[in-house]
Amino acid sequence: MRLHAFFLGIAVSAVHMTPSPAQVTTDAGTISPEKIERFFNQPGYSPYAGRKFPTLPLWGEQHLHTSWSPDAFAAGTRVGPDEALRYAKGAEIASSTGQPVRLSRPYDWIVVADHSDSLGVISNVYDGDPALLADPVLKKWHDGMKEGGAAASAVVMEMITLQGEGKLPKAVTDKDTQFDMWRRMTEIVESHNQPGTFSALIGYEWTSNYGGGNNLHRNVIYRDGKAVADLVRPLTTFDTELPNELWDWMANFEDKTGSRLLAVPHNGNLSNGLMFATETPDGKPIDAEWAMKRARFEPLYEVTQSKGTSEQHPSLAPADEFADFEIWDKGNLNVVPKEPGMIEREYAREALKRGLKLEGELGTSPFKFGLLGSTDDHTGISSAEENNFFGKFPASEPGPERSTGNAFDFEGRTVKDWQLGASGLTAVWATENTRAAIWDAMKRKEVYGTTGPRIFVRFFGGWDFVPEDALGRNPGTVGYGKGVPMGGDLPPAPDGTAAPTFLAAALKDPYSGNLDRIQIVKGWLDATGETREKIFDIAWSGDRAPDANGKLPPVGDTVDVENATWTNTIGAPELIAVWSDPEFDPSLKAFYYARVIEIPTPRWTAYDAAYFEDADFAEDATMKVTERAYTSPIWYTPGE
Amino acid sequence: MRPYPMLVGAAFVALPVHAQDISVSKEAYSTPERPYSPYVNDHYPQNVYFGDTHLHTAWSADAGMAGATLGPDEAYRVSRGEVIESQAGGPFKLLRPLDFVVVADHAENIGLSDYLLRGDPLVLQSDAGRRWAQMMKEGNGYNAFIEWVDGNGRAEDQIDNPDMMSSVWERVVENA
Repeated sequence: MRLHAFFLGIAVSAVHMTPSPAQVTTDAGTISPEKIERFFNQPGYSPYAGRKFPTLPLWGEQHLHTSWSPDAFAAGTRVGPDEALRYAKGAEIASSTGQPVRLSRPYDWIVVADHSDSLGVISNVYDGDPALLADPVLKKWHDGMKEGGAAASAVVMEMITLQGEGKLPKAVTDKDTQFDMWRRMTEIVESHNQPGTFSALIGYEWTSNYGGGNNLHRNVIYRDGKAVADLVRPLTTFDTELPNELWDWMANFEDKTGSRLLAVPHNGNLSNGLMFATETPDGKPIDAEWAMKRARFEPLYEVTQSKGTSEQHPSLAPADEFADFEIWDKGNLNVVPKEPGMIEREYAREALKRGLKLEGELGTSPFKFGLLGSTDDHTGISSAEENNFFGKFPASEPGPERSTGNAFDFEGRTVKDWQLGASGLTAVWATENTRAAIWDAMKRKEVYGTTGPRIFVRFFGGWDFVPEDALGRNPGTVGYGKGVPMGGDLPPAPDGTAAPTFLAAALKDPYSGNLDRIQIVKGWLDATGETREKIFDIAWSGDRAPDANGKLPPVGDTVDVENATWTNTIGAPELIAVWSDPEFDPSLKAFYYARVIEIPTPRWTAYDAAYFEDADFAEDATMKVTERAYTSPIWYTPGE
Repeated sequence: MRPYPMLVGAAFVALPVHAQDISVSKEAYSTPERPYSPYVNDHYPQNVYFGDTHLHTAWSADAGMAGATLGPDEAYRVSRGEVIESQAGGPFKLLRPLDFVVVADHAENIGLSDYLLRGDPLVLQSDAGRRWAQMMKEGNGYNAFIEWVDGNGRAEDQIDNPDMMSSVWERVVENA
C-alpha cells in the first residue's frame, strides 16, 4: 500500500525532469486510524463508500386520476394513463382543455390511482371498444359523446340518472369487464416503469362513500409488477364499502400471491367523523383485531391534497398559528354539514394522539401512521405547483371561470373552485428508484409530505445527538449512525439518558420560497390518560428571538399579490438543529414529527388574478400560502 | 463602415411603404399567447449537468507505469456513482454520480501499462516493450517506470508502433 502512494506522489513532477531514484524520498502520506475516525461510522476514507442508507428523497405522488376514472371522464378529462405517465416523466402534453402543460421538473415515481369502480369503462366506450359497444346503451353513449355538445351532456345526465335508479348497463359494474380493464391498465403502467430512473407503481383507489358522501377512500399500492397485480381482481365498492373488508381482501391477495400491498386513506376532513372513529362505519366498536389489521395495511395517511389539508383543525389546536391552512370543514363529499364531535375524528394529529390511547386499550394503535401528500387531481395532470396549477377537474383547469366556479355543488351547498389547493407531493427516502424500494420505504414510513414544493427534510430521533451533529454537511450519516429516521420507533432509553434528542435538517426547494422555521410537533398521553400536544420551534431564519411567552415572531411577508411575485430576501435557504425534549417524561407515550414552514409566497389564485384579465375572485379568496412539509413521526414507548 | 448601417436603416423604414405583397395591419397582428403553464415551450437548457472533462486512468502512461491500476472501466463506473476499490485509499464512492465524464488519458503511449501487464503481442514488438514487460513481471516495475519517464522527458516514443496506437484508440472509444 505504502509503495503505491509513494509512486503516485512523484509521478506528476517526474514526467518533466530527469529523475533518479535518490530524489524520490518523499512520502505521500498514510492513512491512520485516528484520521479515519473523524469520518463518523465510515468504513474508510471515502465517506460515501459502503453507505447503504437512502441519500436522496424521491419525489412523486400516489393519487392521480386519469380519464379511466369514470367521474373524471364524465367531467371532461381526456388525458389517459399513458399521457399522464409521460407528463409525470417530464413530457409536455395537452390538457383536456387543450392547454399545453409541463412539470417544472420530472417526478421520480408516481401511482396512477384510478377508481376501481367501473375502471376504464366509460373511457373505452368513448374510444369505441367493440366488446363494450355490443351493449346498445353503451353504443348510444359512444355516439353521443363523439357527437359532443348537447348530445354529450345528455349522455352524462343519463349516466347519473341510471346510476341513481340502479339501472346502469351491465358492463359498467361487471366484474369480468373490470378485471379486463385492470389488466389493460397494468399493461400501460408497466410500459412506463424504468427501474433506476422512474418508477411507475401499480395502484387503484377503492372509493367507499359510506352512508352517502362520507369519504373513506383508500389508495391501494402494489409492491410488485403487472404479473402479480393481474392475479387478483381489485376490490370495488360494488363488493364492499367497509374498510376492514378491504384489509381482508388485501390479506387474501398477499396470501395468494406472496406479494405485498399497502393502503393510504385520505380526506378524513370529508368523512364526517368516520375516518378516525373508534367505531366501524356500520357502528361496531373497533377491537384488537381491527386495530392490528389497520396498523398492518395502512402505514401512511395522505395529510394534504387538493381537497384540503387534514393535519390538524385550528379549533382543536388554538395555540398552533399554522393550523389554519387550506381547511375544508363545510361537510363531507356531498357537502352534508358536520355535527359537533365529527372534526375530532377527521384530522391526522388528533388521530395520532388517539392512537397512543387506543394502543393501551387494544394492544395496537390503529392510527400509527406516517404522513404523505398527493394531489387527487382528476385531470391526468399531477399539479402541486402554485404557478402551474391545472385544477382538480377540467372545469378547474386554468381559465377565468375558476375564479368564481364551484368545485362542489350539492343542492345549493357549495365549495368554491378557489378553495382547491395546489397540493401535495411525497418524498420517499428510498435506497434506489425501484417500485420495491419505494414501497419498502412507504411501509417503514420513511416518507414525508409537502404541500407542493420539493423541500428536502431529514428527521432523526435518538438518545445522544449533540449540537455538534448539526454542524456537518451529512446529517444522514450522523442521523442513521446515532438514531432512527422518520417513521421509526425510538429504541429503549440507555441508562443515564434524560430525554430523547432529535436531528432535523431542511433545505429549500430552489423553485420555491425560503424557509421560515423547523418545528417539532409533539403529541403525548399525559399521566391522567388524556391526549396532549405542543409545538416547539427548533430552528428559524434570521436573528429573531422568541418573546416572553416563547412565541417566535413571524418571518415577514414579501408577497406582491398583484404581480404574483415574492422575494427570498427573508427566510433561510437551509435550517438544521439538534433538539432535546425539555418536557420529557419517560413514563409517558409520545410521538414527534417535524413540520417545516416556508415564507409566504403567492397562492395559485394570485397567479390566476395576474394572468387572467377576466378573473373575478371574491374578496375572501386566499391569495397567499405558507407551504410546508410534514414528516412522518417518530414514536416513544416507555419500557416495561 | 458608417454609410452601411445608414442604408440598412433606410431599408427598414422603407419596408412598410413598398412591401405591398404582404400587408399586415397592427390590429391583425397578434402576439402568440403565453401559455398558463410556465414550463412549456422552454427551449433553453433546464438543467445544469456536472461533470469532469479531465480524468486520467492507468491508461495514461505516467499513471499506469507509476503503479495506478484503475483503468477506464473503473473510471466510468465510479463516475456513474458506483463504489470501487481505489489503489491505496480503500473503497471510494462519489456523493452523487457525475452527469458526464471525459476520460482524457495522455496520448503519449496511451494504454502502455495495460498492454505491458497483459503482455499484448503488439507492445512486445518493441525492445523497450519486451524489456519493461519482463521488468514488471519480475516486480521491477518501478525501474521500468523510471526508464519510460526518462525517454518521455526527451520526447521520445520508445514503443513507436502505429498498430498499437490504433488498436489502443479503438479500445478507448469502445471503453467510452
